[in-house]
Amino acid sequence: MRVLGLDTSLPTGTVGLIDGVNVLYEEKIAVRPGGGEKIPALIQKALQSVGWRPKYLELVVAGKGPGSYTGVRVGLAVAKGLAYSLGIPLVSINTLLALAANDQGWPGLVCPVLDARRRTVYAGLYRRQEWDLSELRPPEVWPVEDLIEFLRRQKTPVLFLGDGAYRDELTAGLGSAARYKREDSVHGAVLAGLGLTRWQKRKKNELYTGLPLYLRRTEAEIQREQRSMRGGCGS
Amino acid sequence: MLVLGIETSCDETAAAVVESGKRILSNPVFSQIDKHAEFGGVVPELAARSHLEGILQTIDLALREAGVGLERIGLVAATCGPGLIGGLLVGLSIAKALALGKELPFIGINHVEAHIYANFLAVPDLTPPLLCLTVSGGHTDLIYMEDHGEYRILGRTRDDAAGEAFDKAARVLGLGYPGGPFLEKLARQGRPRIPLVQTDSLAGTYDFSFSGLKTALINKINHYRQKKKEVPAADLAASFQEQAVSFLVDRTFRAADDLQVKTVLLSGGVAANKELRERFQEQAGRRGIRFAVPPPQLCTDNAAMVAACGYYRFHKFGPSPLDLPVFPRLSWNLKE
Ligand SMILES: [Zn+2]
Repeated sequence: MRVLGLDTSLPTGTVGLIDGVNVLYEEKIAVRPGGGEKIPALIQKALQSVGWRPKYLELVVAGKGPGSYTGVRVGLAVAKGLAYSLGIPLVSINTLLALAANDQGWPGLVCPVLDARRRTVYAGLYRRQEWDLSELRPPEVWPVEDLIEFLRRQKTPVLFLGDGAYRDELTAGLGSAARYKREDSVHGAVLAGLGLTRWQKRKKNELYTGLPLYLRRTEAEIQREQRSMRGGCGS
Repeated sequence: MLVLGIETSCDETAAAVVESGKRILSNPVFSQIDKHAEFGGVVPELAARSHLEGILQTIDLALREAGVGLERIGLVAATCGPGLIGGLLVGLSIAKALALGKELPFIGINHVEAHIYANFLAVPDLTPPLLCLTVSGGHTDLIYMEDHGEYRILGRTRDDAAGEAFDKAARVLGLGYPGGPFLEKLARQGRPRIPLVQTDSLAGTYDFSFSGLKTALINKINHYRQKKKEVPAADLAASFQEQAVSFLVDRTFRAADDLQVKTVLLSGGVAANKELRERFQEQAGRRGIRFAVPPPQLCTDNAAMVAACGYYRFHKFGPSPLDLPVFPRLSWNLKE
């Protein structure tokens, strides 16, 4: 199957093309700030360089975050537009799973961590079994201390993959049971491969339903809740 | 040529199919007003989320209502600015991807220019040169259109946009959101008997200012409250509207006289205001020049105007590159 993978949820975006197990193209570009607009042109360049017309594509795979909400929306909008115009399915993959898939050798738990500001991180927990990654915890927003505490209780070596945020704290918190590897961008071809496997297993087309992982509420919603709580308790 | 238009710059998710820049085959618009009403204004993040949730269904609906498939479309046009960056990115990204997938040309459109083209949809035999006042929640621009794609900005607002001023006035009068239509309704029950601003600080220019008028309104309301008198809300609304409309009429028709134009247009969301339309009609009639304004549903944001604008621009300037960025603060870069 000829598959396009794209992700724009992290500061470095990516486009990859695979044909079954063969990686044909992969490129990364800075998409923050304001580079996500270049993704369609990059896809066009990728297709031209492997000699494919757009209509040769059979599946589109897009990263759905966590990450920059604006960034993820650009990637998903591009993926939806392509899948719709070509009449092919769309599969979305969470960015942390795609990061975890970057590492092939670690025997223990793999924990991708990305800065989510205000002393929190986006983190998920994965374990490699043969060629498959199983998800032990889906992406969530964790206070840094809580994540350290939770991982300590697993009593298993942990490999952190991340953008550098809280690196020293995380490794110090787990002592010798942890390693940290800087891994802050998704590989387009790896993402395409994950999507292809997912598609073959579940055949679930997310053309209309695929949306970013919004793990946090918006400022406006938080303020509204605080307002209504004040109203409820006070007068 | 059939053009697919896409519009996501503020709080309406819209798509349309327009033939040769003139005939609307479909023009569905999904307003998010309800989602933002409780916050008293458009929340950019919520708007961007809604755009992504609804855009594909909207495009699909536009094509189905037009009775055509994507393979019949010859050009994809999307708003690239000005507007809220999150929403603009959704519309622009999906438009580029549709064009890329179907190997079609793509063009990015200036939203303010698109508003002018609502008039070309409503009155197909319009021809430049003409004068157009675009008034909405985001802009107040007096534009001289020499030819398709050739504009001169004569005047713009120095502070609030006209629609913004109406919304703010409605808020201080305790009316609902969005305030413009509520203010207009209330004004109909009152008389414009209360003078609000004494002097027009920008008299003689083509520029606008509404903040002084808004401050005067707030001061009047406070004045009544301090004296423990009932606030004459309907009269205040009528007075505010009368004064705001007078500013708009003064600049536009002074420019019409100075430039000796034969056609004056109104566009933008505030062009739905009846008082404004009537005063423009009256002034144009007095001068024996042509006046046109789109029907209300084409005055507010929609994608048919984007498609129409795209048609004319494409034939004059060709397509946009696929890596075209969004321009949240886009202003007029053509012969400004
Ligand atoms: Zn507008």
